[in-house]
Amino acid sequence: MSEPVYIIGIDLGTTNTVAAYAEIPADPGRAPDIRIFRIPQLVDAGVIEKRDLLPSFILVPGPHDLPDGALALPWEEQGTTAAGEFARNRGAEIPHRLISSTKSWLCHTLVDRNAKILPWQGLKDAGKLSPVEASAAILRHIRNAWNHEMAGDETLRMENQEILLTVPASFDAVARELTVQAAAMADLKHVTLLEEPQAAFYAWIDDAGDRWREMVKKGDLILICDVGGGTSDFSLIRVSESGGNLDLERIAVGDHLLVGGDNMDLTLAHAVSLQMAVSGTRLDAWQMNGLWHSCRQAKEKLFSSPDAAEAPVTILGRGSGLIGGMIRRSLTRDQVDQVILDGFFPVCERTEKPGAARKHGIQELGLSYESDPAVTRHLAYFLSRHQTDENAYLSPTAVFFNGGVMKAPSVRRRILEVLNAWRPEDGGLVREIAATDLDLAVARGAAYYGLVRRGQGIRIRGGLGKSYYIEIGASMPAVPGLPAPTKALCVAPFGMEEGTRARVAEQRFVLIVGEPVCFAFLESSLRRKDAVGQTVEDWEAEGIEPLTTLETTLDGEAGTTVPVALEVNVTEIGTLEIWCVCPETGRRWKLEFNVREKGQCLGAS
Amino acid sequence: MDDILKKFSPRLFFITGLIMILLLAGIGATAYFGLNQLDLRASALLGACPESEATRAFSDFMIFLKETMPIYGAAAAGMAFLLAVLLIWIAGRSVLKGLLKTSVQKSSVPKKPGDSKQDRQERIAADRRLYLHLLSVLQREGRLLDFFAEDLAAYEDAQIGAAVRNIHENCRRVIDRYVGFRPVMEQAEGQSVTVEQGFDASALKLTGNVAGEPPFRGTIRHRGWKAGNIELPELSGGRDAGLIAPAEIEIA
Repeated sequence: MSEPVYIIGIDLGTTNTVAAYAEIPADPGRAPDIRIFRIPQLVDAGVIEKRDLLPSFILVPGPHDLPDGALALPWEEQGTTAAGEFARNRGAEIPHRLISSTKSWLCHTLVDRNAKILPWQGLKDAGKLSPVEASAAILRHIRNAWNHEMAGDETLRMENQEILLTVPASFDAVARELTVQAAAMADLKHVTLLEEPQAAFYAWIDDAGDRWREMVKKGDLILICDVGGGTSDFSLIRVSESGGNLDLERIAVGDHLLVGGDNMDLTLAHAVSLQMAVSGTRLDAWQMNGLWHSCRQAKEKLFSSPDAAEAPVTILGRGSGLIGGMIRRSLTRDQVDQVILDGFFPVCERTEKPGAARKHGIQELGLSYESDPAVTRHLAYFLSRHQTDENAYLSPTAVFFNGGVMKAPSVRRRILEVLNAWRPEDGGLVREIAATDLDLAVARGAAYYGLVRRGQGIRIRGGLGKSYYIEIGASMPAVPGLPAPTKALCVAPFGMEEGTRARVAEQRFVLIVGEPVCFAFLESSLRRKDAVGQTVEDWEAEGIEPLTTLETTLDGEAGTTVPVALEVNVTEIGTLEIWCVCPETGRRWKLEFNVREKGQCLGAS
Repeated sequence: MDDILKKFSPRLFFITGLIMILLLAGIGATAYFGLNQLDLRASALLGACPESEATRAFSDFMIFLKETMPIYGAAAAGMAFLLAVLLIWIAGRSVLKGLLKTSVQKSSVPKKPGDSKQDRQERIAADRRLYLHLLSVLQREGRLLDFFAEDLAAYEDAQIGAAVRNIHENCRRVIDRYVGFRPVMEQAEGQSVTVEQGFDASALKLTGNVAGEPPFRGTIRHRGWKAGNIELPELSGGRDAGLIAPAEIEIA
């Protein structure tokens, strides 16, 4: 690989993908401009235009869905799939050919993420992609577009640049590993991962320049509230001081919540269509789609002009009945407030928990959308779960918004209102740290972080966002009829930093060579104080959850045994590696994550 | 082409001549040497058996050869030489002429797209498609053509108004994206402005009492429009250039 010329930040989002880039300065003291890479993409059959956002949708068309040559791109004459705006728009008409929310599939533990399962519920004959391949297809489009637009010679090709790829803070070690695999599949072999909320905050630091030090102070606890099109993500950053300098540390991350702006618009559309049904107007799928778009526009209009009491929602008639077949309603401010603010951001107590999932006899195995759409209740739960002891409410002193939904001032106001109602009596008002561009911030921040890694600007300390364990048998007499009790052994603690390694010295395993080895791999986003080697009994009650299994087959003389210790390595690029190491001979075997359906195996002992 | 031919033909003539002279000299020398040898053998034969009839006839023939060859032989060879040079020269020249003609024909056809009939047709089709493209987007996102195709007499003003709001909003967004139009004059309508000497007559249209030389004083009646940013799309695929929007058929 030649020396990179650019740092490229890619925000591989659930609904939109953005790429930003900055030239690596020859003089390290100078901060370069960060620019958005306008991505050429199909916007209609055979029409290529540039857009800031690449919608994260992939169309896998059948033989009769598109005219010949409709998917031709300047860099690929005979394309078989499309990514971007055209994929999204055409895919709405043929949903069984459309892959969406790829990223959420990537962290879905109930499916095999290397199996060709997408489009979910697609036709049998269709060329399907695995979640990893689908993510790779989006990245490949960006790489090809970059190489077409920007790369005059070999050294400027994207493969040879430094790439920062953002992932949700809630992504576990397996999903991160799969993201890196997807990038490698798209020929991007040198990527570094970064958490999205952190990236958004970096973008703010870049915008604020040196003034950011005046805008936050020692002791601040900043809540990053990122509500995008498809997912919501929370993180907490603590501001401390060491040696006269402000220090930023990410101290907690939330779970992956499948609720976002698209749900809100769809809920509005359903509310309006229910009204129509009452008055006898039934909508077909095409009209429903039109209603969805119209509701989004009406919502944005109401949110951006605080004086308007209502905004029209119009569905034009199809074909020649444009005016005659038109359906017209209006969306009132009360309705929007009721559906969006009270439905998704209700005022609630800080002790509330999200409503439990309604149990159906047979749960459909699709993406597990949140059964409780109330973002504020998820927020309350997030804060209360991460408080260090029973009574010490973790009170944010400032909040930083990101994501398209947060463009609406009334939504931001509502969250501030709720946070202020939760704060302890002696606490000051929770203030808002104003972000500049909510759609593009993550990609820009990722590029900024690339510069930070080269020694310019402040770095948020973070490390692992979760603690990881493996399941081992407890040394207790077995009781017939009951499963043998197990313990969780901490192998990688919360906050373990990139580029460090640790060895679990307390526990040795004796493994048989030539036979598959399997460990149950567990995670916890709550236990933040466990150290390497610590064991937790009755772990299921202590907030530790099974994640997947770790597997390998030891090579060597079959049938012999070898004593090993576990070694954990948090790589520079932000992934987790677990190795079996034989202390006597120094031989090492890497344990691989199982990315198939959640597997079970008995803990080795 | 004629130039090359003019330069080439004397050279060809000279080279052919030179080669032929050398060739002829070689043949002459060989013939002379051979004849001498033959004569020597003949004299020896005559000495050995002078009475033989055959020997005498042979000796006479040798004497005839020795007398005639240098004169008639040289003349005949000279004629043959001239004829050969002439023939080779003419043949070489005509071959070159033909070669030059075809190669010039080839190189004088430029390999630019657009000059062959097919390329030209493709370019015209692409231009036509690009010309209709904006209309195609206005229809797709704003239903503009559907609106034009409506018979407005059949509807109430309020109904039309409601539809227009929607169409206006969507079409406006398309126009903003593709053209980003903005006024030519930054000042507000109704303001008075001075038109300086050397103004751009295509951007400012003067009406009313225009007499004498600038500067003129006048009032802005229309601010004009110009495109802010034009970003042309790239079009690919062999779609019919005249197509604006495809028909939609729902498969049950």
